[in-house]
Formats: sequence, structure tokens, C-alpha cells
Amino acid sequence: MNLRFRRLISQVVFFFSANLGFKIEGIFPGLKTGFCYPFFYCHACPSATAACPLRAIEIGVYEGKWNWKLIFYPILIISFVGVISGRGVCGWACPIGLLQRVTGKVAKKLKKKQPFLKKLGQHRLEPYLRYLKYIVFIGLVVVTPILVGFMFTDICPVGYLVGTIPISILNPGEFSPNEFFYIALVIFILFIVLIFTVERGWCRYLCPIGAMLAPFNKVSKYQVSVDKDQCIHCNICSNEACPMGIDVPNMERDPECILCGKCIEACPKDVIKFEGR
Amino acid sequence: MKKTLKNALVITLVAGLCLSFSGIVAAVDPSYEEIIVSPAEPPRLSEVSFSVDVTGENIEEVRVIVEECTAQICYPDLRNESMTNTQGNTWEGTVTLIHDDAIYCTTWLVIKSDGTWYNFKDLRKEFNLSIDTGNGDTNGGDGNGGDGAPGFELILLVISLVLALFIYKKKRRR
Repeated sequence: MNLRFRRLISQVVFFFSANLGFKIEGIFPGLKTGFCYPFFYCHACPSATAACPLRAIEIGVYEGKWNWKLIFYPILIISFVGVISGRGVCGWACPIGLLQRVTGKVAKKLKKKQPFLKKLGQHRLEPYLRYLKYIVFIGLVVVTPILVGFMFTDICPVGYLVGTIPISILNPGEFSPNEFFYIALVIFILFIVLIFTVERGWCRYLCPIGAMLAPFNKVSKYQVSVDKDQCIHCNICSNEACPMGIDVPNMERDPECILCGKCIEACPKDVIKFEGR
Repeated sequence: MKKTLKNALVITLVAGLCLSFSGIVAAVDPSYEEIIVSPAEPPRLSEVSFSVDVTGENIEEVRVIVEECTAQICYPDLRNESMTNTQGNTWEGTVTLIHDDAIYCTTWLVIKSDGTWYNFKDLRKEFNLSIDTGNGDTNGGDGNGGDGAPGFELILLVISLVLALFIYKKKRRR
């Protein structure tokens, strides 16, 4: 079984396990746990099995209340998976990663057809845009809930996608929009545009869970390593394969690496491999 | 002496006028400062108590409105319950939440004073529903846990799976 197929199976399994909260009267009661997702998913989803780690942190710090249990619980869960696999969760488990697996193909085709998008991806400022996710995490998940009571999850595009839209469809006409609805709608449209134009655009630039997991790539048990002595610098891994746009031959435990293994499959010399400490 | 008395009289008159005017204003516009929600972050489907100090004259009825919301939308079936005047200006009431997928609620008062209803939707207060990781009653949870561990048992499951994978790999290498 090749790596791509194994990853697809893993993503599908995690997608279903994240959505076991639905009820079928008399048949299935719905699995609702006290767990926080270690990836990006929303508890507003009608079939959500667990809670959103970001919302837990936000409520934990909300207006300076400092509910340490709610702050540490998601952080410890994410740290645990981070220490083992770094951002491997983004590549192998996250349902939004699965979504971007589909949209990434469109983004790749668009990049070939539209030179503008290719230039945008190679712009000298592009690496700095990747710091946006840290700003989103610290700014909107931690600082604004403390200072002004504004929470990122109120305008979260993933909440809109898996919460607001399905709930509205399942219960037509039963809801009224709140004050964040239209802002969230605009952000959701931008999110869709982003993931259809930049491969893994959400993971690269904006995902707050990715921001939490990224530093663990430096210490994680599993990583992708390159035998630099044997590398012929054909750059197939970087230019053709890597969905995160990493300079693979020169990477050393890169915080952006999602351990998807596409570079491993693409390498003609087999000098890239998964490595466990 | 006569001048001092005259001044005192003028001051008393002005102060009296001001006080009576503020009294008239208070009588016209009932108001309240903050609705106290108990518990502060209630679980889904639970009974929530509300307490508020209402100022104004001839307060005939106070009703608490609760709107349950999820993600960026809110249920239109607002809870509208009557409050009772427990002591002085304090009014108290309870509302039972009815939606098992709500994430947060907003609440405000509707006050009847001198036969007129005043809706204070602009003063609405938001409160979150609990993500309590200790008793199985998270926003993802169903509230039936109560064994002090839900969530953590899944961590144990993950740890055991990872350990099993290591052992399996080691055995294969041998």
C-alpha cells in the first residue's frame, strides 16, 4: 500500500471519528465525549464527537477569568500529539487537511495556468505571511478574548463550514443570524478562495492549531529527514510535491512540514525518509 | 445671618428640584445594571438562574429573555420567563435551556413600568455554556458522564495504541 493511500485512509478514519456525534433515533445514540480535538474541527458541527480546542482556550481566558483546566486541557492534548508527530496531525488526521487535499488539486492546476499565482507563491514576502498564523493564535485566541471578550471561534470559517451551514440546512428557517454571521460569511468566502488558489493555504498562513503544533516539529519523535550528501538537488520534492511549499532539500526539522510524505514518494533517489528518534 | 438663610433656602430649593426631576426621569425609564447568571457558565440543557437589580418606579413586571446560539446563528425560539421580586429592587428568575447543541446564550430583560413595556435588547449580555473537561459535560459532551474522567480515557487509549505500535515495530525488526 503506497503512502498516499495510507494517508487517505488515515484522514478518512479521523474524519469519521470526528463526526460520530450524530444521533439516529433508536439505533445510534451519538458519541459525545469530553475530549478536545487535537486538530482543527468545530464542536458546533451537529455530528461533532468532541470539543474545539480553540474555544476551550478562549473560554479559559475569557475576560481574564483564567480557568486553568480549560486552558491546559487542549494545550496538553495538542502537546502530546505534537511531541510524537509534530505537525503530522495536519497531514494525516485533520479533516480540514482532507478538504484541502481535494482543493489543493485545483490550486495546483490554477498555479500552472495563472502565472500570477505562481509569482505570488514565490514572492519574497511569502515566508513572512506564514507568521500570520502565530498572530491569529496569540492575537485572536488568547489576547482579544482576555481584553475585549472577542473570540476567534465567533468568526471561524471552519465553524461556518461545518457548523452554521449544516445546521441551517438541517433546520431550514429555524435560525436567525447573530452579530458575527455576516463577518463570518465574508471570512468563509475568503477561506474558500484561499484554499482553492493556494495549496494548503489555510495550513500555511492562518491555522491557529498549526501554529500550536509547528514548534513541536523541532523536537518531535517523528520527522522527515533528507540525506543531504546524496541529494542531487533536482528539487522535484519542493517544486512538484510539497503542498506546503517548503525548500525540502535544505530543510532541517522545518516547522511547516506536515509529514505528508509526498516528497518521500517524489524523490527519484530515495534520499528522503521518515525518521523516528 | 439673613443672607445665609436665604442662600440655604435657594440651595435647598435647587437640590429639591434636581432630585425630584431625577425621580421623574427614573419613573419614566426603568433600568438595570447587570444580569447575574448562575452558574456563570452553565451546561447545555441545564436550569439557569438570573438575578438583577432593576431601578425605576412602578415596576409591574420583569421578564428575562434567553436566546440560545450555536456558531454564527441563534435559535429563534427565545425563552421568555417571568421574574419575581424577591427583595427591594432585586428580581430573580430561572430558565431551562432546551437546545443540546448550543454553544453560548444571550440574555436581556423586558420590563413593564407604568403599563408600558421596555425592551432592553441593546443591553444584552452574552454567556458561554460550559466546556467542562472534568465531568464529561463538554460542548462536545452529553452531560451523562460524571465519572471524572471522560476525555482522559481516550488519551490512555491513544497512548496504548502508540505503545502497541512501538512494540509491534520492534518485534518486526527482530
